Amino acid sequence: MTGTQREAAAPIANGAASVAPPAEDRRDTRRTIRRWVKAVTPPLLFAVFVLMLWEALVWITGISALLLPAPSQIALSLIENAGLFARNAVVTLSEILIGFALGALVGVGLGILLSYSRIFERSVYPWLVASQMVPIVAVAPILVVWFGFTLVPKVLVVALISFFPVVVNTVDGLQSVDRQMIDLMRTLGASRVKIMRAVRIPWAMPFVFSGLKIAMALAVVGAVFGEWVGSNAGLGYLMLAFNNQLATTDLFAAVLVLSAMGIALFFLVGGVERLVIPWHHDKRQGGR
Amino acid sequence: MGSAKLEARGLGKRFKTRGQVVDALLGVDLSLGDREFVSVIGPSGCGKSTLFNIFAGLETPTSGDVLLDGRTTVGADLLGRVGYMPQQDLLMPWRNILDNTILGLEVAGVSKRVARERALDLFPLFGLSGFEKRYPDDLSGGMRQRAALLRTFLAGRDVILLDEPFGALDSLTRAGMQQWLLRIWEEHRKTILFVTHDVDEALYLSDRVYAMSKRPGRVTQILEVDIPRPRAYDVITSEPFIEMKQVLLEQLRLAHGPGKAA
Ligand SMILES: Nc1ncnc2c1ncn2[C@@H]1O[C@H](COP(=O)(O)OP(=O)(O)OP(=O)(O)O)[C@@H](O)[C@H]1O
Ligand SMILES: [Mg+2]
Repeated sequence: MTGTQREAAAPIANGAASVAPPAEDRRDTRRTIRRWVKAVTPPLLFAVFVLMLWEALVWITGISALLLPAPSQIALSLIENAGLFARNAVVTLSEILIGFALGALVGVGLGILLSYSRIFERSVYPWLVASQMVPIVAVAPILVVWFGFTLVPKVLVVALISFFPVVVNTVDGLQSVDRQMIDLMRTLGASRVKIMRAVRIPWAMPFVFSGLKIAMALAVVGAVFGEWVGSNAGLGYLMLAFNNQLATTDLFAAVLVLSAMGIALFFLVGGVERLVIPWHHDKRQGGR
Repeated sequence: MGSAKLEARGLGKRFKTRGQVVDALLGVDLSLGDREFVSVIGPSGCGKSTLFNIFAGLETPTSGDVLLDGRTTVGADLLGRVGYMPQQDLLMPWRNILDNTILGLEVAGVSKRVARERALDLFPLFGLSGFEKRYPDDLSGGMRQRAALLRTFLAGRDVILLDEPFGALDSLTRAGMQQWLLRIWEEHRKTILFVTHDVDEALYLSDRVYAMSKRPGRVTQILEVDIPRPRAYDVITSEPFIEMKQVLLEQLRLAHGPGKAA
């Protein structure tokens, strides 16, 4: 009689392990592709529709390219100036990536420190919030005065603008952890550091990534802004230059390049999220 | 009384929240001998989980003593000394089943590789073979409970507290799990304190059953279950079993007070 449980469990267990996963995996990838097609098709079709309308409107009204260039003209500018755009995109991209990395690192680190010590949190957190009330418009020129037309002021603007959502989300995540899970760790004899590493941090990861996505969107804006205040390269610099030259078509092209880069970076964070916390993504999919 | 592994003497716990005073436990005496299987049964809210939290070191009693291996041990000193499986399985969704079960060994400083090997040896016994790399969300309720139990067993404490481990399972799965738990207990020579709402479960599993009253939780009856082991599952229909069941049910009915359903 004591054998029933084992006999009942074993065949199910082995069957599921040896047969099910490969078939399931294949089905999963196919489902993933179908989901992608489903997700990408509507916005793509919509974009094509708008572009065609735009193109038609420009030709019918005969509006000047100085005011509103046609999509075909913008595309032409993109091709003609491909080298120029690429060189400046690299500049902006490195500002974004370095600044974002800095902001994210400081943000997560500060978040962990804040939730380690109550006193530290109570004395520092309000000032963090207050720091966000100081307009970046006021800070950026000072940074340029200090560091000149180098990479540094842009990186700092990006870092300053992107660390805040990361801190807030990290702190929220670390504090929302299931009390009982911590108690379980304590009954196992775990130290505070071990609890932080084994429970609090994994628990907070989905929150951290929410913060990182917002931070990335802000970082792109931050880099362009940093370039506007003082620079001689980058997509933001190009936009300003084109604007002064009334090269509207090229300006539109530059905006296009920047947007494409921003979208790619945003989804990059999402991709990293899936790699780092696959369990969370799977769960969300299951919930649909 | 020197042979008791774990003992409560006159244990009391009073909670004060927002001016309200709740006596969860009042003068509870309980003793758990080496390699005994003892159950605590009582109505919801009578302080069973509170008692376990005190034994595990998570709560400090307001009065009375806890003795571990004959020595008075208070509050946080009990942390890490007693195995505890809480009412919820608390499996971590970011760890696969294998890595969930080795948590206790990991905390004890055993290397992951060694810990995994030791866990894998026990996977067949716990009916978890083939699910090592799965995540908790993929498992049925019964399997999750077995995984949580394996985590508790692997932590390697002599005394193990199980707070309603089968409470959420259907009765068929439950009966299977009870027989299985007895087998594990016999093979691994553990000392188990077990909380349940189910009279059959308490009597079938235990050497001794403590019945508790509703708030404030007091021990109202101690019942020695002298049915020889190993016990076949059909003892639950035998005459001595049914007699004990009647005694216990009557006691619980009194504890509950009139007009209230169990
Ligand atoms: N931290 C706390 N603060 C205040 N009151 C509490 C606290 N923990 C438990 N209580 C109260 O103590 C009493 C006993 O609770 P406990 O969880 O121990 O009951 P239980 O017997 O385990 O119930 P169940 O069978 O439903 O799990 C309850 O009335 C509960 O409201
Ligand atoms: Mg309880």
